Amino acid sequence: MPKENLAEDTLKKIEEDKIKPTPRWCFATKNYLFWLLFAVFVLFSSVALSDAIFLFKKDNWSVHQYLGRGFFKHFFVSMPYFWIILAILFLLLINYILRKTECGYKYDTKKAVGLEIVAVVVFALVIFFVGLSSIIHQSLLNRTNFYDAVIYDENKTWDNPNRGLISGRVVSFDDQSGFFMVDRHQENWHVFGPFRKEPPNFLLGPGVQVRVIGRMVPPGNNFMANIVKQCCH
Amino acid sequence: MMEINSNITEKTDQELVSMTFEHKENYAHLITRYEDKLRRYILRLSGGRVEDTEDILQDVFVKVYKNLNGYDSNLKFSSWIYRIAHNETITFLRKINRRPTTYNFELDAVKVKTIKEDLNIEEAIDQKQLSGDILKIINSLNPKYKDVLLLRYVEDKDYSEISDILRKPPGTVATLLRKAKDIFKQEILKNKHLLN
Repeated sequence: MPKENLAEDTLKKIEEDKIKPTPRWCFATKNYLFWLLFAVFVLFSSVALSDAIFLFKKDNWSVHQYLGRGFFKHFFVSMPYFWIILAILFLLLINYILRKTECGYKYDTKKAVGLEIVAVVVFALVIFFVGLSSIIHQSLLNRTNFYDAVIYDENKTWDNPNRGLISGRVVSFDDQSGFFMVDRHQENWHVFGPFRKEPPNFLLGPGVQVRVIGRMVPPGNNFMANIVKQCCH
Repeated sequence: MMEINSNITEKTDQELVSMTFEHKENYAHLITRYEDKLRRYILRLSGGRVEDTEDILQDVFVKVYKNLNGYDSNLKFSSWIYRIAHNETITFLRKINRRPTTYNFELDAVKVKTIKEDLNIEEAIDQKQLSGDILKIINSLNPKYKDVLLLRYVEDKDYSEISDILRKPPGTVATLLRKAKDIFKQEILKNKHLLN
């Protein structure tokens, strides 16, 4: 049977259990926290995407011929999966968090996801163009062990003297005999030409990071270069 | 102090909420205003025992009181209180690990007429029989379809209110309702020989 005096019983329970309305600031704080989380994950997703763009752009798509694999195989091997998966995971979280905000459920799913993607792409491009993605990539490489293992390290591509690809830092330069460089294994190389510079006007001198396409000339670490590319790091 | 009853019916929900903040005894007016509607809604949603429904109902009103400061005045108060009732009922059913069962009741003629017109099954089914079996069919549907059908045709809520109660985008509600109507119509026609 329905309770005869539900109102009275409920008020009695409220009185006995000393129940009070939760303060307004608790609800406001909870809602702000969700929006803050939303913003944080938009940022995380943008960073992940910007690093994916950075690695994608950093890869030298023309070297696949030296590595003995076709363009598409090279494309799929060198895709920045780590960052792409992270960007998508964060994007899913963004959508979940949006739904948890006070009025988030009102947004149409397709429109909301579309706007979230636009926001993430715009921020990712900003992060990429101000150079933050490069800094993040480099600090992860230097400070963590896992990162090198989970990304396709393009430097490894340039660690292939047998296939005609080397990279490193110029130690000394001489117009007559080419230049000497040291690679990431601290091996010294004598690189000589004639070679083409890319871009043609970059200054080849001590301290400059370069990538070289050519062929090994044994004995010793001699390398005949066809192309010397300026490298970001 | 409690307000004089004759004035209370003219007060809006919003005004009653404000009065509750001034004197918690005034909360009794909100309870009185919604208890019958919510009792029926909970019973239809859960199909449970009357005793369970009374417990859920009291929990709903306690929870509403606790969360009064969280009520967003951009929403209808009725949508907000139905949302809490809906969630409390679902939580209760999960807690006791029971699926909703059928609670039989007869819909009034106006509602049955609306359903028949909306589903374009006026000729097919006898009104009296449909009225008696309507909830049996609604209860046999997937909960997501059952929720929207109950709110739309039994509780007379519009799309925007259903969206606020179930916390789903209005577009999703429209899609769910369209699918629910299709499935409901199929079920009605499939069981026509049983109804007649």
